[in-house]
Amino acid sequence: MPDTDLNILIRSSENGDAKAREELFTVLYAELHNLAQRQLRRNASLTLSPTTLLHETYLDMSSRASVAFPDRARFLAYASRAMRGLIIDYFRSRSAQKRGGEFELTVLPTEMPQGVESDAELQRLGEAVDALANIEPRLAQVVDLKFFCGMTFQEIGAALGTSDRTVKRDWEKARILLQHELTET
Amino acid sequence: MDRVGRFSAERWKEISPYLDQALDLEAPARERWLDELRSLKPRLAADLSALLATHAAVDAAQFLERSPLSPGVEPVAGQQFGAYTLESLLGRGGMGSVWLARRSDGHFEGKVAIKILDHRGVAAQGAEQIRREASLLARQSHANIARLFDAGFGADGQPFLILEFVEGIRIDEYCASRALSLGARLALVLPVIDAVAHAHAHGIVHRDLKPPNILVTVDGVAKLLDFGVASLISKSASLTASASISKTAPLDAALDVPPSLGMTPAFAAPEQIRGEPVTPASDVYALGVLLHLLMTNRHPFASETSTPTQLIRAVLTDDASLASESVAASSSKRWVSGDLDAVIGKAMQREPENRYATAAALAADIRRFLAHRPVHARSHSWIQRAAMLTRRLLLRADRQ
Repeated sequence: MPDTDLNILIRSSENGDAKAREELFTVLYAELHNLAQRQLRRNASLTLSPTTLLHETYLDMSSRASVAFPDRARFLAYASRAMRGLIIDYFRSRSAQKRGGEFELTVLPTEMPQGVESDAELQRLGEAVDALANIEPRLAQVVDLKFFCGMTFQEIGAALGTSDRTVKRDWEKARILLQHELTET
Repeated sequence: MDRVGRFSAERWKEISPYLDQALDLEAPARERWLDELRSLKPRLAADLSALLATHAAVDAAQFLERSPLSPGVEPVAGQQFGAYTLESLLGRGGMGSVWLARRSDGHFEGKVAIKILDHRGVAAQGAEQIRREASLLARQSHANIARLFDAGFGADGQPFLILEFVEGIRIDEYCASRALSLGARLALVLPVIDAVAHAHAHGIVHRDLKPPNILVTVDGVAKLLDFGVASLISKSASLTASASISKTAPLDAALDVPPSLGMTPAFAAPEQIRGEPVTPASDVYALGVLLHLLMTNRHPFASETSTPTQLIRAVLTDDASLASESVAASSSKRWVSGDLDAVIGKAMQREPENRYATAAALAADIRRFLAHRPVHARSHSWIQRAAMLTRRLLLRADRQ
């Protein structure tokens, strides 16, 4: 993809173009997925945490001028959502075929998170985060970075250029709204 | 239209800054602030208190606290923990899994239960503290408490506890399946309350008393499981938490309540739900809920609540219904109403200082009840009545 296209996509997304946002999401999903596959092909017993995967993908994309992101914060903002999609798909494929599915993201995920019983619930959670993103995108972003990417409040604060106090506050508000969304719909 | 739960985007924009303010306040100040708001903007205040109740619930349930990709290693049968080999899975809960295990070296015939906790990454100093606490707990011995033999850390660093293996039926199911009389139920649960009193005397609070933790063996003996385990877990969790946020602790400390780990909302005292310090009186509250449950086969807040959020709100703001109101048979109703209602009611007071201070005081009052002597739970209100009467007489005397 030429350099200009990615930048146009980012600009259009930021102007509220939903189609551009979806396209950007697809690009990042593919980037994360491909890098994970590449790493695993090189070393089958590799443990790859989401944070590492994000970091490596960012470096990888930066090294190719054609798909370089303007900055790391912008990258994380969009890539964390792709990461959420990747993880939900991973759990779905894992339960669809107990062993050696086509989709071998990482050897790490082995447990369902607290309060989430099944891949179907994880998917519902993903949809709830989408609903949250429509109301207040920043809250959804914090959930993606914290819950789906496993980042700490400090890391998120540094990445988004806010204090960890603000991040922690957003996290609490996001959890409250997600719980409402999951129990009232 | 864009909405989350019942809130539209516009509504949320309106509420959000108020929620920020509310989350900044400590519980008592928050209540006052909310009361003021209620008179100015009742609808907003109602939404806020619903959101705050949800906050208490997500906090208590540790909703989304663990990332789906946090490193996790499922224990499997045959795996070694300390000197023991896992045999079969007994159960799985929010905190981890419990396994039946046998000694690997064959020296010792007894079976044990091993509880493997999900918390990982316990700081080194936390690990040391857990070992010390566990060895303190391991020295406790009581016929109605399942022993804790040892504690340690598995190959992957997950903490595990080696406990006496108790084969039995949950106390509530035991009572129901045998249709035990109310008197027999009290007699069955009294040694459990004594066991809690024994632990209180040694400075140990259970923190998570509930029917799944009280099993009745084939010999008809009720045994308490997991004594002190909840406190071990929350200690390890708070240690990791403070280690990782130490730089920002002053900021975060003002932000919200400490994580209230290791408790079950249905049996947790109000102060536990609010994340305030847990004392022996918190166990007394849980025993009150248990007594109500055993006398009536119903949870004291069952009639008004159906969701965890509603339950938490009820525990924080409502008085529990009288046990006798939920008893159908008229002879049983008469037996429970009056003294026993007062005993259970005193154990379940919302303010810890209004409850029995320890489980020993609760046990003593139940014994008074069984011996047809006046219970202390009622003498207090009798004194109050006398005081009120005296005041009224004095007032009248003044006027004359």
